[in-house]
Amino acid sequence: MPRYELEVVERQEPKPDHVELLLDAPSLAAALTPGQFAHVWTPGRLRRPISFSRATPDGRVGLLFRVVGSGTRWLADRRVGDRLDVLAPLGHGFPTPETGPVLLVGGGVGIPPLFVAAQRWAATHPLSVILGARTADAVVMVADFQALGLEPSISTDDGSLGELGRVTSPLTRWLARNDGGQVLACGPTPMLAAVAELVGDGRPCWLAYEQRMGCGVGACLACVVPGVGTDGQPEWLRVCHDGPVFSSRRLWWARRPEEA
Amino acid sequence: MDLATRVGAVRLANPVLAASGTFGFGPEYDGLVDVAQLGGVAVKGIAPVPWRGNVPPRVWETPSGLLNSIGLQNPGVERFLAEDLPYLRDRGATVVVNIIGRTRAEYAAVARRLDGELGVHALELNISCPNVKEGGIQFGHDPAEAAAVTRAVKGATTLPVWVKLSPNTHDLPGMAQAVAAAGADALSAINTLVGMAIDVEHRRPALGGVTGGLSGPAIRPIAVRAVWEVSQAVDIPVVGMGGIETATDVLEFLLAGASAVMVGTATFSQPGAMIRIIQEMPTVLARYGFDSVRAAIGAAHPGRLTT
Ligand SMILES: Cc1cc2nc3c(=O)[nH]c(=O)nc-3n(C[C@H](O)[C@H](O)[C@H](O)COP(=O)(O)OP(=O)(O)OC[C@H]3O[C@@H](n4cnc5c(N)ncnc54)[C@H](O)[C@@H]3O)c2cc1C
Ligand SMILES: Cc1cc2nc3c(=O)[nH]c(=O)nc-3n(C[C@H](O)[C@H](O)[C@H](O)COP(=O)(O)O)c2cc1C
Ligand code: FES
Repeated sequence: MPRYELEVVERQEPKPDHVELLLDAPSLAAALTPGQFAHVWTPGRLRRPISFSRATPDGRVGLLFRVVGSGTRWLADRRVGDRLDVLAPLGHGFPTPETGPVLLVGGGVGIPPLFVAAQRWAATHPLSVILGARTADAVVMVADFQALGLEPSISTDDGSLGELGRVTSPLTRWLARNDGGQVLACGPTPMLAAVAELVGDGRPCWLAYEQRMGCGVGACLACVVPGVGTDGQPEWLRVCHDGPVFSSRRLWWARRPEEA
Repeated sequence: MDLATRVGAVRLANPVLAASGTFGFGPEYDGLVDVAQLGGVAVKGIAPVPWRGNVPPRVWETPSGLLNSIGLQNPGVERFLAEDLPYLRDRGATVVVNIIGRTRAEYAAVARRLDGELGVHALELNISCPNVKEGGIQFGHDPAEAAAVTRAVKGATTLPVWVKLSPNTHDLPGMAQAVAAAGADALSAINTLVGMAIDVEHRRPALGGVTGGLSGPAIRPIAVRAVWEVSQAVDIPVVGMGGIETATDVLEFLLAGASAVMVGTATFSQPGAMIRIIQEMPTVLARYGFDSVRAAIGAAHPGRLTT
């Protein structure tokens, strides 16, 4: 995986405390798999993992993040013309879905990687989109999905946008309406565990996980999550290298939501 | 400029090695770091059988430092030999295998298994990891235990044996003398210091392993002090590490008495750090009046003051 120094060519604040930086990176834009991430240099000892939020035909890639601490605050202060030092594209993204309906479920800052999936597969697959967050201020990229001709079902914990409640209600309805199909999801771990439980074993379900990272490239074994080995025994999976996207069948939490 | 150095019988093209646990087994950094250009690679600690390691989270950033509690997760010596060593061997890297065990016999078993394996140049005995409850660090606290495990490993291999010291001990020179007397060919100093952070938001320890090992520039002065003391206490070479990020940092360790150095945490932020340091070494050595790496080793020691 190469290291790039990419120029910020556009900066947006789509919601309070949310920033999207668009970077000039034609080779990345062409090569990206939805769900892959960048390990972005920030001051200090560790880089910060951020998923790609879009890849445009004119050779730009996006990083959309919520400001939560020192690293994302520093990133939020970048301006057009600044350069970002990134390792990318990292990890294994969502596999190309089989034919048939595809549901994208995104929670909060888990939404951006699913927009890349929508960009990639809107023309080839019947896509449905469910977006959720605590409040309206954390539901990002709705207009982007709409520009692709998709109408996301939105739910918020406080009812400030869309339906009051969790993504599980629209998910339950989608599962009842569609016999087959597959589900791609990214968001907080409890959300992913709930999605995996509702989807069950009958259809492919791919989940993009988060974990604190050191190297970002598979070397330090920091970013592990409990997985199910081929022998059914628990084994550690590296989010940066084996993931961040895993089949729900391989994840211990997804198999046992009560332990999430 | 002559960057060559040696750690006992092990000849190194330059003094910069990758530190154990921070560089995996090499292929992870393929395309970013050419392992043949490094002085060498110390691989992740290897036990006789696979270890699971600690529950996550396993890293936490601190001021000028990094806490980790990986807990020595490793594939075991057989899988290491079958799956991991070939990459480094095929590229001609100088390989130092960091070895771990829960008992003396386990250390000796790994050492025996690695003896005679093509592509392994030295063993580094990790008797100093703060992240495992048994074995590891308890050897690093007790000079008699440290000497016994060193002797057991020496008896099981013809490979050079470097013993990696813990800074979490009150008598580092005494420890160094004990393992040197037991036959160690070199010393590595230092491993991480025990530390801890609280995740204030979630009201719990930041690391799944509760405590962890502190690395990075935060520990550099402690590491320099350790190299300074240890290199004067024994006659065997010392490999220095702890927070090295620049060629000037390397020179600091050489002057303190190190014959070579390792770079760990810096690689996470800048994967190219080791290569950049090696490229900058000639300029930095020349700037401070040295015509070789060897000339700088121990040059700050009493009696060596030349200006
Ligand atoms: C594969 C992956 C993709 C991600 N994609 C996005 C994204 O598209 N948009 C977005 O807003 N966030 C994303 N995150 C989360 C993002 O990495 C964290 O919000 C960010 O690292 C916080 O850094 P900080 O310095 O601002 O916060 P601090 O809390 O000060 O960070 C302290 C340390 O904890 C780590 N950390 C804190 N929160 C997380 C977290 N949730 N996951 C992993 N490490 C964390 C930081 O990297 C840093 O090492 C992703 C995480 C992963 C693992
Ligand atoms: C994530 C991580 C894993 C480590 N794993 C090992 C290990 O397996 N064996 C070992 O002897 N030292 C291990 N260390 C210690 C380093 O090799 C080194 O001694 C220490 O980090 C100081 O150097 P640095 O400040 O340049 O990182 C590890 C350090 C880190 C940060
Ligand atoms: S962050 Fe180092 S292995 Fe994943």
